[in-house]
Amino acid sequence: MRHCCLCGLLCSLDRAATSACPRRRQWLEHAVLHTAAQVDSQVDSQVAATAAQQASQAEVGGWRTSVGLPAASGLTARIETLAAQLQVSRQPLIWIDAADVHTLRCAVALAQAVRGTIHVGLSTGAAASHRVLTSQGWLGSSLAEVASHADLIISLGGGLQAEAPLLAPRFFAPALNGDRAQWWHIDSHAANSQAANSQAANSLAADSSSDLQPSPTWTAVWPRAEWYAQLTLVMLGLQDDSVRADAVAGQMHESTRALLGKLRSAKNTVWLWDVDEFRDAIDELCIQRLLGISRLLSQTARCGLLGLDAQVGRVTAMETLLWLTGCSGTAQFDGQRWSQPHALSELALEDWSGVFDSILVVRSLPSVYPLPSLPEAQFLVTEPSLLPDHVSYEKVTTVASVGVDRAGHVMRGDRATLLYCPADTAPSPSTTMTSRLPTAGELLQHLRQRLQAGGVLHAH
Amino acid sequence: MRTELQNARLVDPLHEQNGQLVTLVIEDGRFVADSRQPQSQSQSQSQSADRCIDLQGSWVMAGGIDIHTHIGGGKVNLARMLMPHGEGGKARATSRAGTQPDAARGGPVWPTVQTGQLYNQMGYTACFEPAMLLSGARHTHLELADTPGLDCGAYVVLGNEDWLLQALAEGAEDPVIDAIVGWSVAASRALAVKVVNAGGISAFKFGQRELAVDEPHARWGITPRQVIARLAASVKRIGLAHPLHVHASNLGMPGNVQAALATLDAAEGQRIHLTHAQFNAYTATGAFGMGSGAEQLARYVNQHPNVSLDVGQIVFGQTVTISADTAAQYRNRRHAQPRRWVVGDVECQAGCGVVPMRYEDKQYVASLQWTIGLELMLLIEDPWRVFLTTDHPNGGPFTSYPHLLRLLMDCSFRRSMLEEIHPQAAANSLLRELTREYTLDEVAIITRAAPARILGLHDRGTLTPGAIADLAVYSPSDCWETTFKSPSLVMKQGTEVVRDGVLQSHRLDCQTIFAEPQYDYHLMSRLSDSVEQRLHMPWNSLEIGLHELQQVMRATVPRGDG
Repeated sequence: MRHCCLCGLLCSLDRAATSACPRRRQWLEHAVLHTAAQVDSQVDSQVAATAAQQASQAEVGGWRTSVGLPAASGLTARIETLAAQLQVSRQPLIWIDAADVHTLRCAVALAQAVRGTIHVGLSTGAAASHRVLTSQGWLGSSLAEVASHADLIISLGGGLQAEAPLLAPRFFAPALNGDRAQWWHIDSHAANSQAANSQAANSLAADSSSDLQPSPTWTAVWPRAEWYAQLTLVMLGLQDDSVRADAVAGQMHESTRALLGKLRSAKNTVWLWDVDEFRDAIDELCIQRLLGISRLLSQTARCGLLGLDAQVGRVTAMETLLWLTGCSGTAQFDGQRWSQPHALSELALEDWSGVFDSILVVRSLPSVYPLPSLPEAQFLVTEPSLLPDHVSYEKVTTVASVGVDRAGHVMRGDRATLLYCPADTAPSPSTTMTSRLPTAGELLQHLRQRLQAGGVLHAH
Repeated sequence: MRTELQNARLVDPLHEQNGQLVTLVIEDGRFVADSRQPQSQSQSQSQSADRCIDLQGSWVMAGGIDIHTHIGGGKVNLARMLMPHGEGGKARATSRAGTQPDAARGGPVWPTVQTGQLYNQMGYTACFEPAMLLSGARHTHLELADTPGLDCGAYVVLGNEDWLLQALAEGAEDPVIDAIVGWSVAASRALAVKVVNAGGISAFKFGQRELAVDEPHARWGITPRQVIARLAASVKRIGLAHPLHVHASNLGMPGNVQAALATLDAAEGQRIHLTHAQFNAYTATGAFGMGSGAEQLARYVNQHPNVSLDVGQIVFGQTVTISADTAAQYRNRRHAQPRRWVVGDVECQAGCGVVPMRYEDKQYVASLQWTIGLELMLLIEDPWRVFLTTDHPNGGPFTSYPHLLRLLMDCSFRRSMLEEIHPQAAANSLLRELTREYTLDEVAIITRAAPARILGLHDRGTLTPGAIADLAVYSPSDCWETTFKSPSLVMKQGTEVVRDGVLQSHRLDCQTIFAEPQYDYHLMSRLSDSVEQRLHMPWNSLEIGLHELQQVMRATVPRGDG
């Protein structure tokens, strides 16, 4: 077992078996590939690498220009381009699509220096959950609570098993051992659930030391279009209004009736879902129904909600923005203080091009799909393939994978391990990757310093 | 760098020249000597100083220290999310009692930078976050690192972890408990241990809505009294300076002063600190079935030198309450205003509850709470064992401290404010009879010297030679609130951070203050399975290394460039 630096879980999968965890594959392979590319280039051609390193060090603080990008897009040139754009901009926007704590600190400092706006993108599903959470009473739970205290685990939708195949063996299995808990699963298609189970089992089977993939105790298939109605019926049933209960009983699926009975007898229920599977307005109403159910159940028992996304268990860019500016999602600096520009929330992201005359997109991990069309934007990305085809290379700067800093730390502020190296071990000189790409944070910091050194700030 | 502060009127009971007009000398961030010379001779001393500032007889106190203020971590950030920037400020403006100063826009939970600045502007230079969960320690330290102008530390929350309760239930011997407690402190880089509703948060997960001090936990069979007793003793054995910091059982419930007294008894004579005591000082008698237990609690404190408390004074207006006590916050949800809240269970350790709250001066319960906090402050005789806090932001924002000091120092003002609150709360309050007025020396003790002493920070909270040169200069005025609201000069480590109310742009390398407990690490490593079985992550991944704390988390970027 080793610790997964991405999701914070104990994990039996090594890097060769990342296929079992899409999230891990998405994050870790980028880091591995980038590091490997740098190392390989040094091993294969020491002379060339040395020359490149020397050239890059001569350019900007020991950084090297990006592998695979045209010479014209060398780092110095890119920084000059970005600085020039920010210098004349009256309404600059820094648009963050996932970032570590330090990158956010740098982005906020840059936005403050140029009196700009910073926006942390949320996936549509995450935004929907966020709206519900901040508008009413919310009863939450966490993964370890599921494993140790729940007696009824309800997974909703096929996204969880597809996106997080380690979830069930890692957190459901301990609860299911000894029949302390039951796992009830609700899906929109029977095939989804079976396919997800099969895929996860196959992946896990490749690793003999992996956990056993448990199966749901009970599975229901509700057509997706009926989820809201069925959840509403559950909520009405739990309200125990006998007249209304009789009235709605006829509309209930048999499975809904069974679920209602199970909920009434459970002591500690946790509902889990993949937030990115609940995207539209009806989905948001579904989350509100789940919240209503949890509040009703909690009057006499315990019931918590746990929407999972790629950020679970870490200190997110959104949280960092909150503590640095007091604003949630979007923050605007007017030279004196930060404020939340509520008017922007009324606009589609595509229309932001009409508000801001320069946009810098930092895209470490694609959590926002699709990327809005921002024709004039400049991009800092860990992997150019994360961008749509229409974005030209001239507007792209490749940066190191999320959170791999100069010392080799994974700096995303995870609540679990933050470091590749043991906690009390200072990074060795060998891990100071002088030949690697700059991180987004380093680049943003350098950009701010470049602007300040040039005395160009606040001219506007 | 040598700085001389001439004509400084010392307000520091620890200083042998307390009350005298002297020259304070600062070298390399510390006080190096007191001038015993009259002013004429100090002029000659100034020849060698790099800088001289004539304070013209203003009062000089050590930098303020807040021992209990929620300024960092996941729950604080949740509060920011529920109370968007500025919302609290608008609501406060309508408060009829008008008792919160207009010191800051926004709030009551400000961004980190503003938090540091507001504390500095009141003369405070060190603050301590009292509720850091083990699994949220990194987040807490990251936020504290982004809070400028303040040295910070945090207390790790214990007393509801499955692995700890299991060990206690199995009758684990002292070294085992010490290993768990010591490791938790060391791993999270905490300064002290806080117990929140001992066993009660865990019991809530098993369906128990309340857990009295002698009531067994439904799953583990142990009582809060046992948890308190074992942890209080362990904290002493592992060498922590600060006694067990206790949020008692049944917070906020009528009659809970009995729970507070029983909790203090549970320490069995060990040192114990009752936190935000006002919230645990209610009788079940009086108007609306709730009255003041301040006299009982204060009498107990006066009779037991092992006990100290911070008050958790409430301030009228809008705020947001944040606590690891899920059971209490679940009860409080009914009073949420605005009506949105978050309550959640956290990683087999504790919980998290965030509930916005509005204390109305014309409402009985809030008025009663207001009187109880002041009664406690005035009835407890030893200023070294009582601390001025609002449990920020639970009772109100820390920016209300100048106002609260005026209430303590000015009896006539206090009585005039008593006329503004709910008449039944006012009529029954001891405040009608209490004439005590805090002296300047006592203020220096409760806000500086005593917090430093109880946290074991021997080089803070005083102006004596060798101490860190954190100080605040206050000008006498007709109104104590005015005096304490705007110090004319605040220095941190001998560097000016506020001058005439204006923040200076100096960047300071502030510290994270943590303890180094004595315990058997190898014993803890043998207990690691019980942690990993719950968290499903390597137990030592929770450990924050020194390099990480000092170099990675504090790898900050310049602020205030705008």
